[in-house]
Amino acid sequence: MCRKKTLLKDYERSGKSSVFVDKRIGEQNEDLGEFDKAILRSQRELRVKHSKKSRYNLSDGEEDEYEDQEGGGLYAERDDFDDEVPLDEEDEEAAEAQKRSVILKQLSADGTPGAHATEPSGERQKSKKEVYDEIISKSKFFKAEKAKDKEENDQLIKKLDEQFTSLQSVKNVYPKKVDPDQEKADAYDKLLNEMVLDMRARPSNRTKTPEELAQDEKERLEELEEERQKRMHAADDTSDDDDDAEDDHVNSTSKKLTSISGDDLGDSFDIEEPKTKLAWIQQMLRKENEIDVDSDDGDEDEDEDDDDDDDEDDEDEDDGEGNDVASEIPQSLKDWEQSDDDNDDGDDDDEDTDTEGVNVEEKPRDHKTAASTNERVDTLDAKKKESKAQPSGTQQGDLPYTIEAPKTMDELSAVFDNRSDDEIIEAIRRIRAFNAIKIAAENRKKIQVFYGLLLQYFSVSANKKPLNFKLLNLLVKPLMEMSIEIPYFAAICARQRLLKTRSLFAEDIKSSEKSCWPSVKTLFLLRLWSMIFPCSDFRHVVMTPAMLLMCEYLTRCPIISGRDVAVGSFLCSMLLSICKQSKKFCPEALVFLQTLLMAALEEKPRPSLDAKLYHLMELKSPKPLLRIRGTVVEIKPLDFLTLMDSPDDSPYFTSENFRASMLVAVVDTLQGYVNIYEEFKSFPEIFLPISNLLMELEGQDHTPDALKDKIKATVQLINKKADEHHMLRLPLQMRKQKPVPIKLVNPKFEENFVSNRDYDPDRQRAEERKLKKLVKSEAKGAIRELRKDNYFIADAKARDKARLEEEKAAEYGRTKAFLQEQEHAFKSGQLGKGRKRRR
Amino acid sequence: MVDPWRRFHVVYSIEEADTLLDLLASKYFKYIDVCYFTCISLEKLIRTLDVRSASAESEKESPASASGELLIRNLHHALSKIPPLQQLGEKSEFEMWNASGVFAKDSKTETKKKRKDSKTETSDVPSSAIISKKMKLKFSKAWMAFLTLEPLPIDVYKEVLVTLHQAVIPYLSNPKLLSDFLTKSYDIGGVISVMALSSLFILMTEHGFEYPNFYVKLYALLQPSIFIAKHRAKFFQLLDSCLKSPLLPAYLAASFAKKLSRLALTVPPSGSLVIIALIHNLLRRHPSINCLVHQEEKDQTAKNDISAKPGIDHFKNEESDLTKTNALRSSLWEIDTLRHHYCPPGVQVKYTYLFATSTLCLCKYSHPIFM
Repeated sequence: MCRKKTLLKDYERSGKSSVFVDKRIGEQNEDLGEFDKAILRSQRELRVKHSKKSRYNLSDGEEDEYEDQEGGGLYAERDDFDDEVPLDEEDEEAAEAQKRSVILKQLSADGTPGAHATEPSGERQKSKKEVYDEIISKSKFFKAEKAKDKEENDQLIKKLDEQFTSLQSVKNVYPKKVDPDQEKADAYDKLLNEMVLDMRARPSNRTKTPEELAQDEKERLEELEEERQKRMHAADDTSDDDDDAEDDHVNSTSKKLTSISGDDLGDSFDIEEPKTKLAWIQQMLRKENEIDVDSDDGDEDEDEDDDDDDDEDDEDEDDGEGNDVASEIPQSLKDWEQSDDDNDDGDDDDEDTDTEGVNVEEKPRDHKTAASTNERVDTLDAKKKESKAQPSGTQQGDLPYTIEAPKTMDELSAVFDNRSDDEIIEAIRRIRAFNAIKIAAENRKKIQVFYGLLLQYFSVSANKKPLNFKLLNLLVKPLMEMSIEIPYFAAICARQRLLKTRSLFAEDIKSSEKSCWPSVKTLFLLRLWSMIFPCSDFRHVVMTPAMLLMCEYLTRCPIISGRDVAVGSFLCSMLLSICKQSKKFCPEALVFLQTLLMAALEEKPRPSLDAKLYHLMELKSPKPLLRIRGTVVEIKPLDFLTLMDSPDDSPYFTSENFRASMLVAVVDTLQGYVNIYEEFKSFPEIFLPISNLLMELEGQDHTPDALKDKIKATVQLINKKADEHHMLRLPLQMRKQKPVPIKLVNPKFEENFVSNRDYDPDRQRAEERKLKKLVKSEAKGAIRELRKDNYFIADAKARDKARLEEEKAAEYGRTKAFLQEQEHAFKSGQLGKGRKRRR
Repeated sequence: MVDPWRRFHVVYSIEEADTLLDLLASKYFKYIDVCYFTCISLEKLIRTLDVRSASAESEKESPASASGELLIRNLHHALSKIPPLQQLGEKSEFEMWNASGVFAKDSKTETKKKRKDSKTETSDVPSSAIISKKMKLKFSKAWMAFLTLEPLPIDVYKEVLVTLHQAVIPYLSNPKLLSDFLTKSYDIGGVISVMALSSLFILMTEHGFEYPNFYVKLYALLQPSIFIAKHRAKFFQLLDSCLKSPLLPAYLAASFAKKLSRLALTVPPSGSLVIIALIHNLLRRHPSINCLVHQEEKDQTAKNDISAKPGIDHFKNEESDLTKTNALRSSLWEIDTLRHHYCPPGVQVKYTYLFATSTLCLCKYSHPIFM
C-alpha cells in the first residue's frame, strides 16, 4: 500500500514541529538495493575528487578535500581576510570592492574559468565547493591585478610630479595666473546664463475645446467692448473731466445698462442717466408684479409721459427719421398682436398683450402709452439722436460688442431696430457668442428665450408688408444653428406655433368670408422648419404635424382667387421638397394639382370620372380660374414674393400670363411627384387620371406651345412608367413563411454499431461530451480516493488509540500488580515473594 | 277642446312660434292628453295643408311656398318637441291636464265607433297600455302625415333624417310605414343618402324590411366627399356593419374592398385610416377575397394567357354594377402604396392590422388626426 508511505507519514508528521529529512544518496529511491546505493555513493566520491584541480587550490590531500566539504566557508573567510589586509586606503578599497563585484557578476554570467564550466552535473555538494574555489581563485586574480595597478599608478604619479615642476616654471612667465581663468569662467557663465534664459521646448498649445473657444470669443468681445467704451469716454472726458469719481460710477452703470438696451447708452450718459435708471427700476418692478402690469405701468409712466410728450411731438415734426420711428411703433405693435396670437412662450409676451389691452381701451392715449411702455428704450433712443442732431440713415451708432441676450420683445427690438440687415446678423452672432451655452449653464435658458424671440422676430418680419426677403434669408442661418444647439426647445417652439396656427385655421375655415389660406408668415415658418428639422424621418415631432397642416390647407381651403392658386401650388412644391428624400406618399397634393388642372380645362359635360373629383372639392369652387382663353406670348417664371405681395383682386391674377406660368409651375411640380412616386405599386392608378387630364389640356386651342411641350413630356413620362408597372408588377402576395417541418421521430440505424462510440455528427459536441464524461469519472475516482484516505486515516487513528489503550492497560496492570504484590507482601508480613526476591 | 285651435294658431304664426312652443314643451307636454291632442290636431293640420298647397300650386305659387316653408318649420318644431312615449310610459299613471276624463270619453266614443263589441272599457280611466297604444297610433299618424309633405326644406329634411332613427322609429306603431320615405331619400344620393342610411339600417335589421338594391346604392355612396362629410363616423360604422354578414358574395366584398382602396389614394390621412380598418375587416370576414392580398404563383398555362401584362388592373372604378367590376381579378396595390404615406399612423396600421387576427372597432379610426 502506497498510503503507508505517504498518507501515514503525513499523519505521523502532523503532530511534530520538526522533520527529519534523509538526504543520503539513493535513500529515497525504492528500487535500489543496498549494493546499488553503495555504488552510487562511491561514484559520487570519485567524481568530486576528479573535478578538484584548480590552479589556486591550496589543499592537496584527500582528507583536506573531505574537510573542505564541511568547512569551506571557513577557508574562504580566511582567504578574504588575507586579501583585505594589504589594502589600506579606504576609498580605494571600496572602489576595489565595487569593481570586484562587477567583475564577479560578469564572470558568473559568462561562465568563465573557474569550476563552473567544468562542473559536469549540478550536484549540490560539489557546486558548493566549486563556488568557494571560484571565489578563492578570483580573489587571487584581483590581488595580482591590484598590485599591478598600484605599481602603474605610482609610476604615473611620479611622472606627473616631474612634469608639474616643469609646468610651474612655464606658468611663472605670465604676470597673472588668475585672469585668463576668470575670463574663461565668464564666457562659460555667459553661455550658461544664456542657456538658462533660453526657451525650453514647450508643449504646443493643445487644440481648444468648443467650450474654450466660446469663452475666448466672449472674452474677445468683452475686450472690444471695453475699448469702445473707453474711446467714447475719452470723448466725454474732454467735455466734463472734472468729476472722475462720477465718471467711474457712470462707467459701472453703463456696464449694467448695456445688458438692458444694447447700444443707445453710449452716446450721452450724463443726460440720460436718471431716465435710464428709472426705466431700469421700472423694469424691475414690472418683473416683480407681473400680474397687474398694465395698471402699474400706466401709473408709473404718467410722470414719464410728461417728459416724453414734447419730445415725441418734436420728433414727429422733426425729420423723416423720427417719423419713421413713430410710424413704426403702431405697426410693430400690430405685428406683436398677431404673433401673440400665434405663439407665446412666456410671461413676457403675455405682458405685452396686457399692455396692448390697455392701449385698446384708452385709444386717445394709445400712442403715448405704447411708446412709453413698449418702446421706451426706443423713444429714448430717438430722443438722444435728436438731441445730438445726428443726421443718420438707418445707421445708428455702432453695435456694442457685448450684448446680453434680450429677454423680451422690447429688448430685442431695442437691439435690432434701425439696424441694417448685416448689423442684425452681426448682433445675433455677438449675442450668441457672448451667451454661448458652452460657457455657462444658465446661458441655456437665456439662449432659449432669445431663440423664441428670434423666431417671433422672424415671423414678424415675414409679415411686414414691404417684405425684407434678404433679412429673412439671413435669419435662417442663425436660427438653424441655434436649433441644433437647443433641439428640444426648438421643437417645442415649433409645435406650439403649429398648434396655434392649426387652431386659428380651424376657426378661420368656419367663417366663410375670410380667406383661410396660410399667410406669408406661416408659409415662411413652414419652410424654415422644413429646413431645420429632418424631413425624411418616419415620424417627427415637428415635421409630421407640419405636413398634416399643409395637407389640411390643401384639402379644406376653398380656391377662390388666383392668389389661392399660387399659395396652394407653393404648398404643393414645398411638400414635394419635403417628401422627396423619403418618397412619402402625399395624396392631398396630387388631388390639389389635379383640381388645378381641371380648373384649366374648358367647361364641358364632364364624364363621371370628374364628377367624383368635384365631389371631393365640394367645399371648393372649381371655377375656371386657370383656363387660358387668349393667346399667351411668353411664359415667365413666377416670382412667388411678388405674387404674395399683390392683393387678392389684382388684375395680374386674371391675366393670361399668370395662368400660363401657373400651369407651367403646376406641371413641373407634377413631374417632380411622378419622379418620386415611380416605384409605388399603384402608380398607374394614381397618375393615369392625371395624365388623361393633361392630354385634354394639351388638346385645347389656346394652350401655348411651350406648355404643350412640357405637358407632352410629362404625359409620356407617366405613360411609360405606368406601362412598366403594368408589365412588371405582380399581384400582392403574403410574405412567404417557410412551413415548419414536423419533428421526425424515426429511429436512425447505424451499421457496424460499436457500443461505446459516440455517433454524434457534431464533432464539437461529441468532444465536449467526452470531456464531460472524463471529468465525471475523474471526480468519481477522486471521491473514492478521498474516501479511502479517510478510512485509512481513521484506521491509523484507531490503531494509535488502541496502542495507547493497550499501553495504558499494561501500565495499569503492571502498577496494579506491583501494588497488589506490595499489599500482599504487607499483609503476609513481608513474607513470600518479596523476601524471596530480596534474597 | 282648446288645444287644437291653439296649435293651429301657433303653427300659422310667424314670430312668436318658438317661445310659445318652448313654453308648451316645458309646461304642457308632460300631460299625455295634451300630447295626444297635439298629435291629432297636427295631423289634421297637415292634411289640410296638403290639400291647400296642392290647390295653391295650381293657382299661384310664390306666397304659398314662402309661408309654407315657415309652416313646415313650425310643424317640425312642434312635432320634434312632443316627448316620446317611452319617457311618459315610465310613470305608471299618465298625468292628465284635463282630469275630467276627456280621454275616457274619447276612448269610449272611439270604441263605440270602431269596435262596438268591446265592452270591457267601462271604467272612467283607461289602462295605460291602451293609452300608450293610442298615443303611438296618433304619433305615427302625425309623423307620417308630416313626412308626406312634399317639398321639405333641405335643412329640415336633414334634421329629420338625423333624428329619425333615435327619436321617432322606436315609438312608431309600425315603423315599416317609413320605408317609402326612407327609400326615396336613400335614392336621392349624396349626403341625404348617407343620413338616411342609419334609419334604413334599423328598418332592415330590426323590422325585416327588404331592399333589393341596397348594396348597389351603398357602393354608389363611396365617393371621396364622404371622407370630409360631417357624419362620416356614423356612416363608416354602418358601412362596416352592413358588410359584416358572411353571406355576402365574394364579388361584392371584393368590389367594396377595391373601391375603398382606390379611394385611399385621394383622401386625407384620417380617411385612409378608416379605409384600412374597413378593408381589414372585410378581409377578415370574407376569406374568399383573400386573393386580393395574396395570389399564388400561377401555373404555366395561366401565365401564358396573361403574360402580356400581369400588372394591369382589371378593376373598373367607374362601374356601378357590382357584378361587373372585375374586382376579384385585381390586387390591393393601393394599400401597399399607403405604406409610403407621410402620416405615420397610416403607415403603421397597414402591416400590423391588415393581418391581425381580430376585426377592428371602427370608432377608433374615424376621428381626424392632428398631432
